[in-house]
Amino acid sequence: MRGEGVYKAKKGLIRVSLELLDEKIRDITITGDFFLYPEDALFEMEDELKGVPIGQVRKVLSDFYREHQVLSPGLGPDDLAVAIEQAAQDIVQSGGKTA
Amino acid sequence: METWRLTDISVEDPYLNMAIEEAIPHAVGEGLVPPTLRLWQNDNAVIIGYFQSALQEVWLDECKKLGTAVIRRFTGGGAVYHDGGNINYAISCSEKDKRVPMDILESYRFFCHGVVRGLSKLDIRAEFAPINDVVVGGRKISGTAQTRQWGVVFTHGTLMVNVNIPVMVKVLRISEKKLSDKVAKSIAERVTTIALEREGVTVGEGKKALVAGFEEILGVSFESDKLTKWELDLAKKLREEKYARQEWNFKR
Repeated sequence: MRGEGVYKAKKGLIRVSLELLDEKIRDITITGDFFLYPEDALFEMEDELKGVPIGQVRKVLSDFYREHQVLSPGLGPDDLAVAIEQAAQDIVQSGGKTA
Repeated sequence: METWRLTDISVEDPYLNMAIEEAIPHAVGEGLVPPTLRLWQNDNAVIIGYFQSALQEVWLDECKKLGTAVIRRFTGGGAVYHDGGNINYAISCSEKDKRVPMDILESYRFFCHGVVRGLSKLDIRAEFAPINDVVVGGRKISGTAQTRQWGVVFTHGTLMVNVNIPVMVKVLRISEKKLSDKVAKSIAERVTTIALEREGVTVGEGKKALVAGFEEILGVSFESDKLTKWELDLAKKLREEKYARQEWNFKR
């Protein structure tokens, strides 16, 4: 079961499509009208998030930003985390099992 | 004064137009051509940002009806509508060029000021609206996007001269929610065009103004020239392997 999260950061609308298995991220796609440099870091970030427990998303994202020197004007790793957490919440609210 | 290349080249095929957009910074990065300003137009296309999903951003049925191409670009940011009333500009210069601020936010400001200066030539008072817009009276008239790849700072953007706003509102899916008349009205109210600000200004005059604006901020003069065979060959390849392919345009 997939959940969707939409969050408007200072600059940019972040949309997350998420699939969880045992409260861990099984699949994730992050889309939106934001800027992120270097661009392809976004796809690496999605890969890095796979298998991560939803409660650890914030830490993984902030570590990833630092290690890969990601720059995303007008939005930060916490904004991405909010959109991901909303998508996880969406799964719970639609009666989907995450565990 | 340093001379940069100006190329006012559009083709009918919107996929090849986007391929040319990428071929030029490759050529600049390889040192095969001087830093370049390209001005161009599409007849009827929606260009989505690198990280966007066409399904989420575009009314695909409307595009099909209207014959509007849907193409993903290689820079971030939001979807834009292109028709003959919209000028696209693209500047490619070396990442080492001292004129361009290293800081990404500052470099957006820098290039947007070229557009602001250009509009002032048409007696339109515009201002930079961070991060990447130029507005007139609070309404967006120009948007820009930047990438740094191939050793190049590449900045491109739109300048609306007399874009068909009703069509733009039909093809761009601004909200997740159904596009009510109320929403459609609010989009139309959030943008403006040169024609709405100064009646009678042509696309050609808009282009001249842009060139003058960029000459001022860069302190260079532009000289018209063609694309090289190297660029055209690469563009054809990029068209076939990337921009005309569903796998690229609908990959997210």
